[in-house]
Amino acid sequence: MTFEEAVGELDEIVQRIDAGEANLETMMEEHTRGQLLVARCKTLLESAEKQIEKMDAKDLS
Amino acid sequence: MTDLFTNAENPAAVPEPPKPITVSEVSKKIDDLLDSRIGQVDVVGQMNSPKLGNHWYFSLTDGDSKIDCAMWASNVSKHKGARGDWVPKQGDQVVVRGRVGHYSKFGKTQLYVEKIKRYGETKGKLQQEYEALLLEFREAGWFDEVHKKQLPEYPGKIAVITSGTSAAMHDVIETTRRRMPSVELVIVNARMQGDGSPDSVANAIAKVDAHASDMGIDAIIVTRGGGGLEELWSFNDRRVVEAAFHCKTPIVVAIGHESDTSIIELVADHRASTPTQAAMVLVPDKEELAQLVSHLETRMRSACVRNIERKVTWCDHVYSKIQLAVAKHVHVCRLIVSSKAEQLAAKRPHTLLQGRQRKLLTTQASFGSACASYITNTSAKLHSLHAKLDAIGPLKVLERGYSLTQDSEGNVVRSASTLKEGEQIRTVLADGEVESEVKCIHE
Repeated sequence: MTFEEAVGELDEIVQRIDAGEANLETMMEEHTRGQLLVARCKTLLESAEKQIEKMDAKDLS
Repeated sequence: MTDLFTNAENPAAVPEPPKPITVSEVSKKIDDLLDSRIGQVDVVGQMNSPKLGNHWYFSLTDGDSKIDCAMWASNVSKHKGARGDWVPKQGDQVVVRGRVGHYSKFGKTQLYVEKIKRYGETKGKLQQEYEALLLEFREAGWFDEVHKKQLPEYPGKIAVITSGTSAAMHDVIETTRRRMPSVELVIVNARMQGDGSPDSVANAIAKVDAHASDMGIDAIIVTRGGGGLEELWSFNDRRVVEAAFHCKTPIVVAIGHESDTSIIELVADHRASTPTQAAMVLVPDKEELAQLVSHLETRMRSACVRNIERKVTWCDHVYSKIQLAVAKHVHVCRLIVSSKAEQLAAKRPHTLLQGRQRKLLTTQASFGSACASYITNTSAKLHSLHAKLDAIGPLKVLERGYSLTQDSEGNVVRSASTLKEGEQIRTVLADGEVESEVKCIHE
């Protein structure tokens, strides 16, 4: 899951919980999912430095 | 004297070398040579990168060559006095008169300008080409906002088309590492100026765009450092502009320049002022994203707490309603029980008996009273009747000597024929009765 997808889903969860239409059980399930997404986002932000690839335009066919 | 550049073991093999001289001395020689061989000269060219302060610094170009120029403040003052308000600007075609010299401090040859004026057409050849292309692409609508693609919010991989040794490349790498080290960079080396540059840049854009999908490239940066008009001319080239316009991958262009805008910047999806700025536009800041995630987490918790509080409030409300309903029901039940208890109490045997006793007593009293009254009335009536009877009754008759005969059944004998011989009869006299037997009947 990309950072963009994780943040997008987290945002949707916040909006759904904020709307207050879900029952308590569903809300707690959403909250648990939200915590996982927060952890995923933090992991992605802290992920290691990527290698820099260098090439010449003519190497691309 | 030792020859510094030949074999010291065989000094006789070469003629006596000249005496080494200093850099300043050679610079002076160059300056003297230029002055003696060229002297004063009139030069025609296009004004480029003018910096017009007290002294004027600029360069002249004809599209192929360039020479730096300096016009000292004293000459600038004379120019302003002679030519009024005219001030040369970027792209103007001018002719200058001056002396070519060697500026020893920077080791470069330049033209010391004494006079300057417009030459022929106001605009130089490059400027005319630039404006013609600008007009063509503008009329074709290539600069319109509708063609601008949205930049990716969280790019995972960015291709950087630049010179593989440029400071611009290092700026992009440094900025990306600082903001989001997890963003992958693909540095695509291309000629950013000089011969072959337009083809190199245009091909790089087209090829990276063609491979963007399979390479996972989310955006392209085309960048280089600053330069004069002729150095940046590749970015006004039709091939480069067309490649950028047709590029399906979002493209950010950062071409360092001092005045005019390169045409590629107008067709790019985003124009940045520097390589660093280009990286900042595309690469999100890790700290800002961390704050965003933290903010979302806080919002989620707050939303949960609010939601639970709403549900608790709702439960309290429902509980209050239930309590109220129960209390009301209990009250109604109590009223019913109370009413039934009263009804039951009214029907207890003792109460019933008391009621009936009261009724009996009343009835008895009424009956006694009625009986007494009846007896009284009847007695009075009887007495009256007795008196009347006495007045007309048989006793009075009997008292006068008559008698009354009754048969054996007590009937008054009114005819002798009703009697039978041997039948017992009774004769009632005024003062008593006589029992007799019929002996003989005479009719």
